[in-house]
Parts: sequence; structure tokens; C-alpha cells
Amino acid sequence: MSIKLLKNAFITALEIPENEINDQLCYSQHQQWDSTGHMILIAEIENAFDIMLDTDDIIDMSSFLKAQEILGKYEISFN
Amino acid sequence: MSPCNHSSEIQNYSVRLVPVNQENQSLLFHWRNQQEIRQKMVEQQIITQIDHNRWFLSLAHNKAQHHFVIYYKDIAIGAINIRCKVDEVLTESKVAEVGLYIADAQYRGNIIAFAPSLAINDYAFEQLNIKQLKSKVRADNIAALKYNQQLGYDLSPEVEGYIPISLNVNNYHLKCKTIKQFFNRGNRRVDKTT
Repeated sequence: MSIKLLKNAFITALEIPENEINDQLCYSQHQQWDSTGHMILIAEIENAFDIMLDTDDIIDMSSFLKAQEILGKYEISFN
Repeated sequence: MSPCNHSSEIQNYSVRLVPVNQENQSLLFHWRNQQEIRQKMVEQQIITQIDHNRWFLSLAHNKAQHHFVIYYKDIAIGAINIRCKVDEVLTESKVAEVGLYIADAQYRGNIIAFAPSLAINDYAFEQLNIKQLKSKVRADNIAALKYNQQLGYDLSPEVEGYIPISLNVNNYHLKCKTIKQFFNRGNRRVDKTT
């Protein structure tokens, strides 16, 4: 459930197809994931999981994989 | 010896901009000569130790430029500077140019790379009373062009392999309001694993 929510957040924020979402998807290495896309993504993730991310976590969220690790600190499980 | 011509450290948006001093100046010599940094610069020649030393000592008397080392979480990650025309005084000029590079590859492709620009742009527009920031970017440096566009810079047509860019305070505030809010949100969550 959580992984689907996270994928949907990426799909919506970055306007990319699901097949482009994998653990290697990284900020600045995909043309859609620039600073504007990143801010929209953060808002989508916060809305999807009803959380407010700390600045450090906003900065650290540099990949799809990293997003899962960070959300784990907010007690969101992807197992 | 600290030939820095300005004493103010700038701290904002999760980064510290520390004036270049005796302790950190060698970082710039090392970073600036790295090929991946040099090849993106307007001036691409290797800088000798003698030239670097001469440049560092000249900072004490150079009223047209302010140079900083960028620190994120106490790690030196790059350098940034603001400058006006050589025959002018930066604190009295209305037009200036900002230059930066992120030397640490870990942070080059990270949103933190915007933080030093936000900090120095605030410094320029709010403390130095600069009205416009102008620069030029190599036309093949797509990443830098996109980066500057996201800060609010307008791009002009290419001239001899370079793209002139310019930023006024209104466009800057309009474009960067949201990203500033994210950087200034702070850290409130307590890590329950510690």
C-alpha cells in the first residue's frame, strides 16, 4: 500500500509514467526531477502520507530509494 | 593571515557561506583545478600555486569581489563569489555577478546546491542593494542554464558560445519563494532510533 502511494506521488508530481519509477530514479538525473519537480514531489508525498518533512529530509530525498528510507523514519513501512 | 576583505559570514537556507580565509583558501586551489570543475568555467586553464597565492593575498584589497566557501553541515562543499566591475566597489554597485561551483559530487546533484545561491542572492539584493545580477554561462552547460532559470534568471540569445543571463530582484523573489520556504522549515522530528 505504501509503495503504491509513494509511486503515485512520484507519477503525479513529476508527470512521469510508472515504468520510469525505480530505485535508481534520482534528482537531477531525470529531466522532470528538477528543483520545481522536487518541491511538487515533497508536497505530494506529505499529502499522501499526512506528514510534514523536516528540511534535512527534504534535502536528503534525492532518489526513489532514498525516499523509502526517509519515510521509514516517519514510521511508514514499505515491507 | 586572513586577507579577507569582508568579515561577514552568511548563514541561511541550511548552509554557511564563510569568507575565504587562511584556513580554507587551499580548498579553492584544489577544487578549482579539478577537471570536472575547470571544464565548466569561463577560464579553464590550470591555476598555479603561485597564481593562487597571489589571488588570495589580493583579496584583502579587492573591493569589487567577495568570496566564500560553502559549508553544509560543517562540510565544505564548494565555493561562491559575488563581484562587480573591477574598477567599482561592490558595496556601491548596482550590478553584480555571482559565480559558484559545488565541488563535492555528492551534493552537486542535490537540491542543496540551490541553497548557497539563495543565500548570496539575498545578500546581494537586501544587504548590498544590488539591483541586477548578470553573468554568462557556457552554452553547452545545460545543467547550469537550467539551474539559473530555476533561480529566476532570464536567458538571452547565445553570443560567441556563451548565454548571457540576468536576474532582477522581483523575478528572484517570485521564482524562489517556495523553495526558500522548504529550506527554512527546520527540523522538528525527533529521531526515535537515537
